[in-house]
Amino acid sequence: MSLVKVTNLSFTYPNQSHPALKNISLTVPKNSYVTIIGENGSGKSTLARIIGAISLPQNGQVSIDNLLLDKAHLNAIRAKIGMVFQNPDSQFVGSTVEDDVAFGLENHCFSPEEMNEIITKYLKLVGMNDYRFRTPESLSGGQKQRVAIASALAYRPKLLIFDEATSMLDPQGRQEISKLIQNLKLRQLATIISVTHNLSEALVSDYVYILNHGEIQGRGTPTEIFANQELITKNHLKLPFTLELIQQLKKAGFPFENEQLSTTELVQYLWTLNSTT
Amino acid sequence: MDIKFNHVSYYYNANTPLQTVGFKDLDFTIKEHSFTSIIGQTGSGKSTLIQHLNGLLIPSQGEINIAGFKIVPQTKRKSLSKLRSQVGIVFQFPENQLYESTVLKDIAVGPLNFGVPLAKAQKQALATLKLVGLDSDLAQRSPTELSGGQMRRVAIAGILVMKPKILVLDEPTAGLDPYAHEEMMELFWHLHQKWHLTTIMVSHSMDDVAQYSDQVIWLDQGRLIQMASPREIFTNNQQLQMKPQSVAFYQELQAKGLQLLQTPLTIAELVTELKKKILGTTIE
Repeated sequence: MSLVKVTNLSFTYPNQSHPALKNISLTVPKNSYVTIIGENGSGKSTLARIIGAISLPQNGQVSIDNLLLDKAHLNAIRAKIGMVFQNPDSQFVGSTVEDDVAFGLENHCFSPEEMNEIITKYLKLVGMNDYRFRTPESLSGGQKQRVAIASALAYRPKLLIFDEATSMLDPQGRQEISKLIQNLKLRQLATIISVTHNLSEALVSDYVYILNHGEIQGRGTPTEIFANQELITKNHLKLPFTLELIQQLKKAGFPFENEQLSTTELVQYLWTLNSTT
Repeated sequence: MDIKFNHVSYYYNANTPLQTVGFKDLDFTIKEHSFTSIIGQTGSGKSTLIQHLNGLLIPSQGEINIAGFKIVPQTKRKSLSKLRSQVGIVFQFPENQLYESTVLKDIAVGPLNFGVPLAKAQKQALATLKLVGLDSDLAQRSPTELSGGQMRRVAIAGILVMKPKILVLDEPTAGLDPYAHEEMMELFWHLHQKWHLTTIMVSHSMDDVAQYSDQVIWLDQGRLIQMASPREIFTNNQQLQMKPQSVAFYQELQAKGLQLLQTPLTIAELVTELKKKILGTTIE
Protein backbone atom coordinates (compact mmCIF):
# COMPACT_ATOMS: atom_id res chain seq x y z
CA MET A 1 0.00 0.00 0.00
CA SER A 2 1.34 3.39 -0.86
CA LEU A 3 0.84 6.33 1.47
CA VAL A 4 2.08 8.96 -0.95
CA LYS A 5 1.43 8.93 -4.66
CA VAL A 6 2.79 11.68 -6.90
CA THR A 7 1.76 11.65 -10.58
CA ASN A 8 3.27 13.93 -13.26
CA LEU A 9 3.86 16.77 -10.81
CA SER A 10 5.30 20.03 -12.13
CA PHE A 11 5.83 23.29 -10.29
CA THR A 12 7.19 26.70 -11.29
CA TYR A 13 7.79 29.55 -8.83
CA PRO A 14 6.35 32.97 -9.68
CA ASN A 15 8.68 35.07 -11.88
CA GLN A 16 10.89 32.09 -12.71
CA SER A 17 11.42 30.90 -16.26
CA HIS A 18 12.52 27.38 -15.31
CA PRO A 19 10.25 24.97 -13.48
CA ALA A 20 11.49 23.85 -10.06
CA LEU A 21 9.88 20.43 -10.66
CA LYS A 22 9.23 18.72 -13.97
CA ASN A 23 6.91 15.79 -14.40
CA ILE A 24 7.69 14.00 -11.14
CA SER A 25 6.06 10.63 -10.47
CA LEU A 26 6.80 8.56 -7.40
CA THR A 27 5.20 6.44 -4.73
CA VAL A 28 6.07 5.99 -1.07
CA PRO A 29 4.84 2.72 0.48
CA LYS A 30 3.32 2.76 3.96
CA ASN A 31 5.85 2.54 6.80
CA SER A 32 8.80 2.82 4.44
CA TYR A 33 11.76 5.18 4.78
CA VAL A 34 12.45 7.01 1.54
CA THR A 35 15.28 9.46 0.94
CA ILE A 36 15.34 12.12 -1.75
CA ILE A 37 18.85 13.30 -2.55
CA GLY A 38 20.24 15.95 -4.86
CA GLU A 39 22.45 19.03 -4.74
CA ASN A 40 21.39 22.52 -3.57
CA GLY A 41 18.81 23.86 -5.99
CA SER A 42 17.80 20.47 -7.39
CA GLY A 43 14.15 20.97 -6.43
CA LYS A 44 14.12 18.50 -3.57
CA SER A 45 12.88 20.97 -0.95
CA THR A 46 10.12 22.15 -3.30
CA LEU A 47 9.02 18.54 -3.64
CA ALA A 48 9.07 18.11 0.14
CA ARG A 49 6.98 21.26 0.60
CA ILE A 50 4.35 20.05 -1.85
CA ILE A 51 4.14 16.55 -0.40
CA GLY A 52 4.01 18.27 3.00
CA ALA A 53 0.95 20.23 1.80
CA ILE A 54 2.64 23.61 2.26
CA SER A 55 2.29 24.43 -1.44
CA LEU A 56 -0.32 23.00 -3.77
CA PRO A 57 0.67 21.25 -7.01
CA GLN A 58 0.20 23.31 -10.20
CA ASN A 59 0.20 20.44 -12.67
CA GLY A 60 -0.19 16.78 -11.89
CA GLN A 61 -1.56 15.09 -8.81
CA VAL A 62 -0.44 14.30 -5.31
CA SER A 63 -2.41 12.04 -3.01
CA ILE A 64 -1.66 11.37 0.63
CA ASP A 65 -3.33 8.46 2.38
CA ASN A 66 -5.86 8.23 -0.47
CA LEU A 67 -6.82 11.91 -0.26
CA LEU A 68 -6.16 14.11 -3.26
CA LEU A 69 -4.07 17.14 -2.35
CA ASP A 70 -6.25 20.12 -3.28
CA LYS A 71 -7.82 23.07 -1.44
CA ALA A 72 -10.73 20.98 -0.18
CA HIS A 73 -8.52 18.37 1.47
CA LEU A 74 -5.75 20.66 2.63
CA ASN A 75 -6.58 20.60 6.34
CA ALA A 76 -7.38 16.89 6.41
CA ILE A 77 -4.04 16.16 4.75
CA ARG A 78 -2.05 18.54 6.93
CA ALA A 79 -3.34 16.71 10.02
CA LYS A 80 -1.64 13.58 8.73
CA ILE A 81 1.77 15.16 8.24
CA GLY A 82 4.60 16.17 10.55
CA MET A 83 7.53 18.17 9.19
CA VAL A 84 11.01 18.84 10.52
CA PHE A 85 12.89 21.65 8.81
CA GLN A 86 16.52 22.59 8.29
CA ASN A 87 17.06 25.41 10.77
CA PRO A 88 16.89 24.27 14.41
CA ASP A 89 16.35 27.85 15.61
CA SER A 90 13.46 28.86 13.39
CA GLN A 91 11.10 26.02 14.34
CA PHE A 92 11.35 26.20 18.12
CA VAL A 93 8.16 27.97 19.19
CA GLY A 94 7.87 27.16 22.90
CA SER A 95 9.74 28.90 25.71
CA THR A 96 10.83 25.51 27.06
CA VAL A 97 11.24 22.04 25.59
CA GLU A 98 7.98 20.92 27.17
CA ASP A 99 6.07 23.95 25.84
CA ASP A 100 7.38 23.34 22.38
CA VAL A 101 5.92 19.83 22.23
CA ALA A 102 2.71 21.02 23.92
CA PHE A 103 2.20 23.77 21.33
CA GLY A 104 1.24 21.37 18.55
CA LEU A 105 -1.04 19.40 20.85
CA GLU A 106 -3.03 22.34 22.12
CA ASN A 107 -5.09 22.44 18.95
CA HIS A 108 -6.04 18.80 19.29
CA CYS A 109 -8.30 18.89 22.36
CA PHE A 110 -6.30 16.68 24.71
CA SER A 111 -6.86 16.85 28.45
CA PRO A 112 -3.89 18.17 30.51
CA GLU A 113 -3.23 14.63 31.79
CA GLU A 114 -3.24 13.18 28.32
CA MET A 115 -0.98 15.96 27.09
CA ASN A 116 1.47 15.36 29.88
CA GLU A 117 1.54 11.67 29.06
CA ILE A 118 2.08 12.27 25.34
CA ILE A 119 4.83 14.83 25.96
CA THR A 120 6.67 12.44 28.27
CA LYS A 121 6.32 9.59 25.81
CA TYR A 122 7.75 11.45 22.84
CA LEU A 123 10.46 13.34 24.72
CA LYS A 124 11.64 9.98 26.04
CA LEU A 125 11.56 8.56 22.54
CA VAL A 126 13.95 11.25 21.26
CA GLY A 127 16.05 11.17 24.44
CA MET A 128 15.13 14.68 25.61
CA ASN A 129 12.91 14.05 28.65
CA ASP A 130 15.72 15.11 31.01
CA TYR A 131 15.78 18.50 29.27
CA ARG A 132 12.06 19.08 29.65
CA PHE A 133 12.29 22.43 31.42
CA ARG A 134 15.27 23.76 29.52
CA THR A 135 15.07 26.82 27.27
CA PRO A 136 16.09 26.66 23.59
CA GLU A 137 19.23 28.80 24.11
CA SER A 138 20.72 26.15 26.36
CA LEU A 139 20.37 23.38 23.76
CA SER A 140 22.67 22.33 20.95
CA GLY A 141 21.42 22.27 17.35
CA GLY A 142 21.05 18.49 17.47
CA GLN A 143 19.03 18.68 20.69
CA LYS A 144 16.71 21.30 19.20
CA GLN A 145 16.12 19.04 16.20
CA ARG A 146 15.25 16.18 18.57
CA VAL A 147 12.64 18.39 20.19
CA ALA A 148 11.31 19.32 16.74
CA ILE A 149 10.98 15.60 15.97
CA ALA A 150 9.14 14.96 19.27
CA SER A 151 6.80 17.89 18.51
CA ALA A 152 6.09 16.53 15.04
CA LEU A 153 5.47 12.99 16.32
CA ALA A 154 3.29 14.04 19.25
CA TYR A 155 0.10 14.37 17.24
CA ARG A 156 0.81 11.03 15.53
CA PRO A 157 1.22 11.95 11.89
CA LYS A 158 1.08 9.17 9.34
CA LEU A 159 3.82 10.83 7.35
CA LEU A 160 6.93 12.45 8.75
CA ILE A 161 8.93 14.64 6.37
CA PHE A 162 12.49 15.77 7.08
CA ASP A 163 13.57 18.69 4.92
CA GLU A 164 17.37 18.74 5.22
CA ALA A 165 16.94 18.31 8.95
CA THR A 166 20.62 17.53 9.53
CA SER A 167 22.33 19.94 7.15
CA MET A 168 22.88 22.75 9.67
CA LEU A 169 24.18 20.44 12.40
CA ASP A 170 27.76 19.56 13.29
CA PRO A 171 28.87 16.01 12.42
CA GLN A 172 27.99 14.71 15.87
CA GLY A 173 24.49 16.21 15.78
CA ARG A 174 24.03 14.90 12.25
CA GLN A 175 24.89 11.38 13.34
CA GLU A 176 22.54 11.56 16.34
CA ILE A 177 19.60 12.65 14.22
CA SER A 178 20.32 10.07 11.50
CA LYS A 179 20.32 7.32 14.13
CA LEU A 180 17.08 8.65 15.59
CA ILE A 181 15.40 8.61 12.16
CA GLN A 182 16.49 4.98 11.69
CA ASN A 183 15.06 4.17 15.09
CA LEU A 184 11.70 5.76 14.17
CA LYS A 185 11.68 3.64 11.04
CA LEU A 186 12.34 0.46 13.02
CA ARG A 187 9.46 1.22 15.36
CA GLN A 188 7.22 1.92 12.35
CA LEU A 189 5.96 5.11 13.97
CA ALA A 190 5.33 6.78 10.64
CA THR A 191 6.17 6.66 6.98
CA ILE A 192 9.34 8.70 6.55
CA ILE A 193 10.46 10.89 3.68
CA SER A 194 13.82 12.52 4.20
CA VAL A 195 15.17 15.13 1.83
CA THR A 196 18.88 15.21 2.47
CA HIS A 197 22.34 15.63 1.06
CA ASN A 198 23.78 13.34 3.67
CA LEU A 199 24.40 10.25 1.57
CA SER A 200 25.14 8.09 4.60
CA GLU A 201 21.49 8.62 5.45
CA ALA A 202 20.38 7.49 2.01
CA LEU A 203 22.48 4.37 2.50
CA VAL A 204 20.30 3.16 5.41
CA SER A 205 16.94 4.06 3.87
CA ASP A 206 14.65 1.64 2.01
CA TYR A 207 14.48 3.50 -1.26
CA VAL A 208 16.30 6.44 -2.82
CA TYR A 209 15.27 9.04 -5.39
CA ILE A 210 17.89 11.27 -7.00
CA LEU A 211 16.62 14.67 -8.05
CA ASN A 212 18.47 17.14 -10.26
CA HIS A 213 17.26 20.14 -12.27
CA GLY A 214 13.75 19.40 -11.03
CA GLU A 215 13.63 15.92 -12.51
CA ILE A 216 14.06 12.44 -11.12
CA GLN A 217 17.39 11.23 -12.45
CA GLY A 218 17.57 7.91 -10.65
CA ARG A 219 15.61 5.68 -8.34
CA GLY A 220 16.33 2.42 -6.58
CA THR A 221 17.40 0.69 -3.42
CA PRO A 222 20.56 2.16 -1.85
CA THR A 223 22.51 -0.86 -3.14
CA GLU A 224 21.36 -0.22 -6.69
CA ILE A 225 21.93 3.54 -6.48
CA PHE A 226 25.41 3.41 -4.98
CA ALA A 227 26.54 0.71 -7.39
CA ASN A 228 25.90 3.15 -10.22
CA GLN A 229 29.06 5.28 -10.22
CA GLU A 230 28.04 7.19 -13.31
CA LEU A 231 24.71 8.22 -11.81
CA ILE A 232 26.41 9.43 -8.63
CA THR A 233 29.06 11.49 -10.42
CA LYS A 234 26.69 12.88 -13.02
CA ASN A 235 24.44 14.26 -10.30
CA HIS A 236 27.26 15.90 -8.33
CA LEU A 237 26.84 13.51 -5.43
CA LYS A 238 29.57 12.00 -3.34
CA LEU A 239 29.71 8.41 -2.16
CA PRO A 240 29.58 7.82 1.60
CA PHE A 241 33.07 7.39 3.08
CA THR A 242 33.27 3.59 3.19
CA LEU A 243 32.01 3.12 -0.37
CA GLU A 244 34.38 5.82 -1.63
CA LEU A 245 37.26 4.11 0.17
CA ILE A 246 36.37 0.78 -1.47
CA GLN A 247 36.38 2.43 -4.91
CA GLN A 248 39.77 4.00 -4.30
CA LEU A 249 41.24 0.79 -2.88
CA LYS A 250 39.98 -1.02 -5.97
CA LYS A 251 41.75 1.50 -8.20
CA ALA A 252 44.90 0.99 -6.13
CA GLY A 253 44.81 -2.74 -6.92
CA PHE A 254 42.90 -4.28 -4.02
CA PRO A 255 40.67 -7.15 -5.16
CA PHE A 256 36.96 -6.82 -4.27
CA GLU A 257 34.26 -9.37 -4.99
CA ASN A 258 31.63 -7.30 -3.20
CA GLU A 259 31.95 -3.53 -3.52
CA GLN A 260 29.20 -2.69 -1.05
CA LEU A 261 30.67 -3.66 2.29
CA SER A 262 29.76 -1.97 5.55
CA THR A 263 32.51 -0.27 7.55
CA THR A 264 32.83 -3.26 9.88
CA GLU A 265 32.97 -5.66 6.93
CA LEU A 266 35.66 -3.57 5.22
CA VAL A 267 37.76 -3.47 8.40
CA GLN A 268 37.39 -7.27 8.67
CA TYR A 269 38.29 -7.70 4.99
CA LEU A 270 41.44 -5.58 5.23
CA TRP A 271 42.48 -7.29 8.44
CA THR A 272 42.03 -10.74 6.86
CA LEU A 273 43.89 -9.65 3.74
CA ASN A 274 46.73 -8.35 5.88
CA SER A 275 47.01 -11.54 7.94
CA THR A 276 47.04 -13.80 4.88
CA THR A 277 49.73 -11.89 2.98
CA MET B 1 53.52 39.50 9.85
CA ASP B 2 52.68 36.83 12.44
CA ILE B 3 49.63 37.10 14.67
CA LYS B 4 50.58 36.97 18.35
CA PHE B 5 48.31 36.34 21.33
CA ASN B 6 50.17 37.22 24.50
CA HIS B 7 48.36 35.80 27.57
CA VAL B 8 45.00 37.05 26.32
CA SER B 9 41.80 36.60 28.33
CA TYR B 10 38.29 37.76 27.56
CA TYR B 11 35.41 37.97 30.04
CA TYR B 12 31.83 38.60 29.04
CA ASN B 13 30.21 41.22 31.31
CA ALA B 14 33.62 41.92 32.85
CA ASN B 15 33.62 43.34 36.38
CA THR B 16 29.93 42.65 36.92
CA PRO B 17 28.30 39.86 38.95
CA LEU B 18 27.41 38.21 35.62
CA GLN B 19 31.05 37.91 34.51
CA THR B 20 31.72 34.70 32.53
CA VAL B 21 34.89 33.49 30.86
CA GLY B 22 35.00 33.76 27.05
CA PHE B 23 38.50 32.36 27.04
CA LYS B 24 41.43 32.45 29.40
CA ASP B 25 45.18 33.02 29.06
CA LEU B 26 45.54 32.24 25.35
CA ASP B 27 49.18 32.39 24.37
CA PHE B 28 50.17 31.43 20.82
CA THR B 29 51.58 32.63 17.50
CA ILE B 30 49.96 32.14 14.11
CA LYS B 31 52.62 32.29 11.39
CA GLU B 32 52.13 34.62 8.46
CA HIS B 33 50.78 32.81 5.34
CA SER B 34 49.84 29.74 7.36
CA PHE B 35 46.46 27.97 7.27
CA THR B 36 45.30 27.54 10.86
CA SER B 37 42.16 25.80 12.03
CA ILE B 38 40.43 26.33 15.36
CA ILE B 39 38.52 23.34 16.70
CA GLY B 40 36.47 22.74 19.83
CA GLN B 41 32.96 21.98 21.01
CA THR B 42 30.19 24.56 21.13
CA GLY B 43 31.07 26.96 23.95
CA SER B 44 34.82 26.38 23.71
CA GLY B 45 35.54 30.03 22.88
CA LYS B 46 36.13 29.71 19.11
CA SER B 47 33.72 32.46 18.11
CA THR B 48 34.89 34.75 20.90
CA LEU B 49 38.44 34.25 19.69
CA ILE B 50 37.80 35.17 16.07
CA GLN B 51 35.92 38.31 17.05
CA HIS B 52 39.20 39.53 18.53
CA LEU B 53 40.95 39.28 15.17
CA ASN B 54 39.42 42.48 13.77
CA GLY B 55 38.67 44.27 17.00
CA LEU B 56 34.97 43.43 17.29
CA LEU B 57 35.90 42.41 20.82
CA ILE B 58 38.75 43.92 22.82
CA PRO B 59 40.64 41.65 25.25
CA SER B 60 40.05 41.97 28.99
CA GLN B 61 43.69 41.07 29.67
CA GLY B 62 46.84 40.57 27.64
CA GLU B 63 47.97 41.81 24.25
CA ILE B 64 47.24 40.90 20.62
CA ASN B 65 49.57 41.80 17.76
CA ILE B 66 47.93 41.59 14.36
CA ALA B 67 48.69 43.21 10.98
CA GLY B 68 50.79 45.94 12.60
CA PHE B 69 48.19 46.71 15.26
CA LYS B 70 48.66 46.25 18.97
CA ILE B 71 45.42 45.55 20.83
CA VAL B 72 45.34 45.83 24.64
CA PRO B 73 42.38 46.28 27.05
CA GLN B 74 42.72 50.10 26.76
CA THR B 75 42.53 50.07 22.94
CA LYS B 76 39.52 51.94 21.53
CA ARG B 77 37.52 50.05 18.92
CA LYS B 78 37.37 53.17 16.76
CA SER B 79 41.15 53.16 16.33
CA LEU B 80 40.93 49.75 14.65
CA SER B 81 38.88 50.61 11.56
CA LYS B 82 41.94 50.25 9.30
CA LEU B 83 42.52 46.79 10.77
CA ARG B 84 39.10 45.78 9.44
CA SER B 85 40.21 46.41 5.86
CA GLN B 86 43.03 43.90 6.37
CA VAL B 87 41.19 41.20 8.29
CA GLY B 88 38.18 39.78 6.45
CA ILE B 89 35.82 37.68 8.52
CA VAL B 90 33.31 35.41 6.81
CA PHE B 91 30.77 34.65 9.51
CA GLN B 92 28.52 31.58 9.65
CA PHE B 93 25.71 31.65 7.09
CA PRO B 94 26.96 34.98 5.67
CA GLU B 95 24.17 34.90 3.08
CA ASN B 96 21.82 36.07 5.85
CA GLN B 97 23.65 39.39 5.85
CA LEU B 98 22.98 40.36 2.24
CA TYR B 99 20.72 43.41 2.12
CA GLU B 100 21.38 45.52 -1.00
CA SER B 101 19.02 45.50 -3.99
CA THR B 102 21.56 44.01 -6.41
CA VAL B 103 24.44 41.59 -6.14
CA LEU B 104 26.91 44.17 -7.42
CA LYS B 105 25.82 46.81 -4.89
CA ASP B 106 26.13 44.33 -2.07
CA ILE B 107 29.69 43.40 -2.97
CA ALA B 108 30.68 47.07 -3.40
CA VAL B 109 29.57 48.10 0.10
CA GLY B 110 32.98 47.49 1.69
CA PRO B 111 35.11 49.52 -0.75
CA LEU B 112 32.54 52.36 -0.74
CA ASN B 113 32.67 52.49 3.06
CA PHE B 114 36.43 52.84 2.83
CA GLY B 115 36.14 55.77 0.42
CA VAL B 116 36.74 54.07 -2.93
CA PRO B 117 34.95 56.01 -5.74
CA LEU B 118 31.77 54.38 -7.06
CA ALA B 119 33.02 53.42 -10.54
CA LYS B 120 36.16 51.83 -9.15
CA ALA B 121 34.26 50.04 -6.37
CA GLN B 122 31.86 48.55 -8.92
CA LYS B 123 34.73 47.44 -11.12
CA GLN B 124 36.35 45.74 -8.13
CA ALA B 125 33.01 44.16 -7.20
CA LEU B 126 32.55 42.74 -10.68
CA ALA B 127 36.05 41.27 -10.71
CA THR B 128 35.45 39.69 -7.31
CA LEU B 129 32.14 38.23 -8.49
CA LYS B 130 34.06 36.32 -11.16
CA LEU B 131 36.75 35.37 -8.67
CA VAL B 132 34.24 33.49 -6.52
CA GLY B 133 33.05 31.59 -9.58
CA LEU B 134 29.83 33.45 -10.35
CA ASP B 135 28.70 34.62 -13.75
CA SER B 136 28.79 38.40 -14.32
CA ASP B 137 25.15 38.09 -15.53
CA LEU B 138 24.19 37.83 -11.88
CA ALA B 139 25.57 41.30 -11.06
CA GLN B 140 22.29 43.17 -11.55
CA ARG B 141 20.06 40.48 -9.98
CA SER B 142 18.66 40.74 -6.49
CA PRO B 143 20.59 38.52 -4.07
CA THR B 144 17.27 37.01 -2.93
CA GLU B 145 16.73 35.46 -6.38
CA LEU B 146 19.87 33.37 -6.09
CA SER B 147 20.27 29.87 -4.73
CA GLY B 148 21.68 29.40 -1.23
CA GLY B 149 25.10 28.41 -2.56
CA GLN B 150 25.25 31.42 -4.88
CA MET B 151 24.15 33.80 -2.10
CA ARG B 152 26.96 32.52 0.08
CA ARG B 153 29.44 33.20 -2.71
CA VAL B 154 28.13 36.76 -3.05
CA ALA B 155 28.56 37.32 0.69
CA ILE B 156 32.10 35.95 0.51
CA ALA B 157 32.86 38.21 -2.47
CA GLY B 158 31.79 41.13 -0.26
CA ILE B 159 34.65 40.22 2.09
CA LEU B 160 37.23 39.34 -0.57
CA VAL B 161 36.69 42.61 -2.47
CA MET B 162 38.59 44.32 0.35
CA LYS B 163 41.69 42.24 -0.55
CA PRO B 164 42.26 41.19 3.06
CA LYS B 165 45.66 39.89 4.11
CA ILE B 166 44.11 37.78 6.81
CA LEU B 167 41.00 35.75 6.00
CA VAL B 168 38.92 34.36 8.86
CA LEU B 169 36.31 31.71 8.06
CA ASP B 170 33.63 30.70 10.56
CA GLU B 171 32.11 27.37 9.48
CA PRO B 172 32.30 28.31 5.80
CA THR B 173 30.73 25.09 4.49
CA ALA B 174 27.87 24.69 6.99
CA GLY B 175 24.64 23.71 5.22
CA LEU B 176 26.20 23.14 1.78
CA ASP B 177 25.74 19.90 -0.13
CA PRO B 178 28.88 17.73 -0.42
CA TYR B 179 29.74 18.97 -3.90
CA ALA B 180 29.29 22.68 -3.10
CA HIS B 181 31.23 22.04 0.11
CA GLU B 182 34.22 20.75 -1.80
CA GLU B 183 34.05 23.61 -4.33
CA MET B 184 33.92 26.17 -1.53
CA MET B 185 36.98 24.71 0.19
CA GLU B 186 38.84 24.59 -3.13
CA LEU B 187 38.05 28.28 -3.63
CA PHE B 188 39.50 29.20 -0.21
CA TRP B 189 42.54 27.00 -0.77
CA HIS B 190 43.16 28.57 -4.16
CA LEU B 191 42.93 32.10 -2.69
CA HIS B 192 45.04 31.15 0.28
CA GLN B 193 47.87 30.22 -2.06
CA LYS B 194 47.39 32.84 -4.77
CA TRP B 195 47.01 35.82 -2.43
CA HIS B 196 49.50 34.49 0.15
CA LEU B 197 46.83 34.84 2.79
CA THR B 198 47.00 34.01 6.43
CA THR B 199 43.86 31.89 6.73
CA ILE B 200 42.14 31.07 10.00
CA MET B 201 39.19 28.68 9.88
CA VAL B 202 36.74 27.59 12.54
CA SER B 203 35.25 24.29 11.45
CA HIS B 204 33.41 21.23 12.65
CA SER B 205 34.46 19.39 9.51
CA MET B 206 37.54 17.53 10.68
CA ASP B 207 38.12 16.26 7.13
CA ASP B 208 38.69 19.87 6.01
CA VAL B 209 40.77 20.64 9.09
CA ALA B 210 43.00 17.63 8.38
CA GLN B 211 43.27 18.28 4.67
CA TYR B 212 44.05 21.99 4.61
CA SER B 213 45.61 23.11 7.89
CA ASP B 214 49.26 23.65 8.73
CA GLN B 215 48.35 23.85 12.36
CA VAL B 216 45.36 23.32 14.61
CA ILE B 217 44.35 25.28 17.70
CA TRP B 218 42.25 23.06 19.97
CA LEU B 219 40.14 24.94 22.50
CA ASP B 220 38.04 23.53 25.30
CA GLN B 221 35.98 25.66 27.69
CA GLY B 222 37.97 28.75 26.82
CA ARG B 223 41.39 27.13 27.34
CA LEU B 224 44.02 26.21 24.81
CA ILE B 225 44.38 22.42 25.05
CA GLN B 226 46.91 22.00 22.27
CA MET B 227 48.34 23.77 19.24
CA ALA B 228 49.98 21.37 16.81
CA SER B 229 49.93 19.98 13.27
CA PRO B 230 46.75 18.11 12.34
CA ARG B 231 48.72 14.85 12.27
CA GLU B 232 49.87 15.33 15.85
CA ILE B 233 46.42 16.38 17.02
CA PHE B 234 44.64 13.41 15.46
CA THR B 235 47.36 10.84 16.25
CA ASN B 236 47.81 11.59 19.90
CA ASN B 237 44.27 12.32 21.01
CA GLN B 238 42.33 9.12 20.44
CA GLN B 239 39.67 10.37 22.84
CA LEU B 240 38.89 13.39 20.61
CA GLN B 241 35.31 12.84 19.51
CA MET B 242 35.69 14.94 16.40
CA LYS B 243 38.00 13.33 13.90
CA PRO B 244 38.47 12.99 10.16
CA GLN B 245 36.66 9.97 8.67
CA SER B 246 39.92 8.34 7.60
CA VAL B 247 41.26 8.65 11.17
CA ALA B 248 38.07 7.10 12.58
CA PHE B 249 38.42 4.25 10.10
CA TYR B 250 42.08 3.78 10.95
CA GLN B 251 41.23 3.57 14.65
CA GLU B 252 38.93 0.64 13.86
CA LEU B 253 41.79 -1.05 12.01
CA GLN B 254 44.09 -0.39 14.97
CA ALA B 255 41.54 -1.93 17.34
CA LYS B 256 41.89 -5.14 15.31
CA GLY B 257 45.67 -4.88 15.51
CA LEU B 258 46.43 -3.48 12.06
CA GLN B 259 49.02 -0.73 12.42
CA LEU B 260 50.03 1.72 9.69
CA LEU B 261 53.23 3.80 9.52
CA GLN B 262 51.41 7.07 10.12
CA THR B 263 47.90 8.25 10.94
CA PRO B 264 46.18 8.84 7.58
CA LEU B 265 44.50 12.25 7.50
CA THR B 266 42.72 11.86 4.18
CA ILE B 267 41.20 9.04 2.17
CA ALA B 268 44.13 9.31 -0.30
CA GLU B 269 46.67 8.87 2.51
CA LEU B 270 44.67 5.95 3.89
CA VAL B 271 44.75 4.20 0.50
CA THR B 272 48.50 4.85 0.10
CA GLU B 273 49.30 3.55 3.58
CA LEU B 274 47.10 0.46 3.18
CA LYS B 275 48.71 -0.27 -0.17
CA LYS B 276 52.18 -0.08 1.37
CA LYS B 277 51.14 -2.22 4.30
CA ILE B 278 49.04 -4.90 2.60
CA LEU B 279 49.82 -5.03 -1.13
CA GLY B 280 53.45 -4.00 -0.64
CA THR B 281 54.25 -7.23 1.16
CA THR B 282 52.54 -9.31 -1.55
CA ILE B 283 54.89 -7.99 -4.22
CA GLU B 284 57.96 -8.74 -2.14
